[in-house]
Amino acid sequence: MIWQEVKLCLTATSSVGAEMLTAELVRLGVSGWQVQSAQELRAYLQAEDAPFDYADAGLRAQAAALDNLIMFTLYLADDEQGQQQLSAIQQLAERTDANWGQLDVLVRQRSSEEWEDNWKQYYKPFKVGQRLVVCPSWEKYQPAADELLLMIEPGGSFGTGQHQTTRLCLELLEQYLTEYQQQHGCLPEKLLDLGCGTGILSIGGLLLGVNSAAAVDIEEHSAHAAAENAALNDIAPERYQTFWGNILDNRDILIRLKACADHGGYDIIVVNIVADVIIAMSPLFAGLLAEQGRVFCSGIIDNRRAEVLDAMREQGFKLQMERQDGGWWAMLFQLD
Amino acid sequence: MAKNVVAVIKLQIPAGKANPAPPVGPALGQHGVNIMGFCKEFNERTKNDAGMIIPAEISVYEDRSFTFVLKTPPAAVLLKKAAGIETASGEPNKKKVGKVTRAQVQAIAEQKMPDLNAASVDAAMRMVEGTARSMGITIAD
Repeated sequence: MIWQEVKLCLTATSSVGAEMLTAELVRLGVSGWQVQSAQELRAYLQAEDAPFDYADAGLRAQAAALDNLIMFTLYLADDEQGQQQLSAIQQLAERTDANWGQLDVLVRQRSSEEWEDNWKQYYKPFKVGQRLVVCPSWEKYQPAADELLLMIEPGGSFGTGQHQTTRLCLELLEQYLTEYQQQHGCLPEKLLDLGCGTGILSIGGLLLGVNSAAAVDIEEHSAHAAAENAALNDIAPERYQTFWGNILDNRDILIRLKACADHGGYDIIVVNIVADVIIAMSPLFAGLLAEQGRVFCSGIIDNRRAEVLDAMREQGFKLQMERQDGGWWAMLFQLD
Repeated sequence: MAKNVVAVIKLQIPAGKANPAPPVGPALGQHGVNIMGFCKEFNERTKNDAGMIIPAEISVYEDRSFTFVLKTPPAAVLLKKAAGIETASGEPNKKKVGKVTRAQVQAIAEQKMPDLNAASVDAAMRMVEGTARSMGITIAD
């Protein structure tokens, strides 16, 4: 997709001037932008509570290069509405009554291909828990004897394994499966992945020894991505089924998910979404679980943990284990 | 492991609505940040501020992991909400579109103090008043 990248450069201005320009952008219906300011960058680098141990030398050079400039970068669609907004923005530079110093407007065309895949060059194989090694589909990795290779092609879906919510859930799942095997001498049979994204959790579960999995997502491309990732990991189609739909308002999906578990329920449900969705889904969990089944909930930020706990308790679940990292929680529940 | 910050990105985007489209995609993509990961976290942390534009200051580390802190919304956004208007005036000197009280200006100034380069609440109030005037919002005593 082609975009018009618009850079608004304010010189000889103050934070008031920047606020005034912000007011204009809000008035023109621009819905988001990036701001670069030397003053803010210097304040960041000098802050006592700065969130880093070292700052790259390039950042100080960037602050020096910005000098007294405040730069807004925004993107307009390459269509009629975008052209109207651009025209209105260009008129701002001609205003003589504005109190924001000098305003220069620079425009160039950008293609979304320039940034969409850039992050992939930094996505390298990495270990999660004791045995799983998550590896992007374009990388090569030779696993050690005690490692399990989990190949992922993320596409546009959530679930690369880098985010705490995914990593915590995989770690908790591995811990549970290890302890289960020690106690029972076997592994759980069926896993259900709600909000599967790339399918990383359910595929990880299968690699760790669960026999079969069903994965569902409200995004069609995610359901496809999960199926493709299962194939990428040499998981036979009969062990992995994917569904597209919303279990909260689509009864047919629920019926099909129950049928997929031969109406005996799932031994494990993993749900890594966000607190609101987990709470909304919580009344459905018991009906999808096998006897002695477990629910893994992740994607819960600090200030929503108590609400999720309350919702799950209300549905008859008790907390068995939990893990926390960077303000995110993953929790393991069982029926009380 | 010591954290080496390689980029700082400040975005101002609608609460609960971050997605991989611009400005999020190009701003984070050029530094190798996982865009989907940021969107999920931003949307979850701002879900109760629907309708507001929220600034996020994102620290990107050498390994391309990231953290971010949320700042107070721009004064223009807070003024719009306080005045109960949808859009500011295109001709602020001629056409007034709303009104806020001095107490509301003070409340906005106090809220913005941590992010404004202001020596005192009075100085911050003058900044907020300047923004209000540029939007065609009058200050009522």
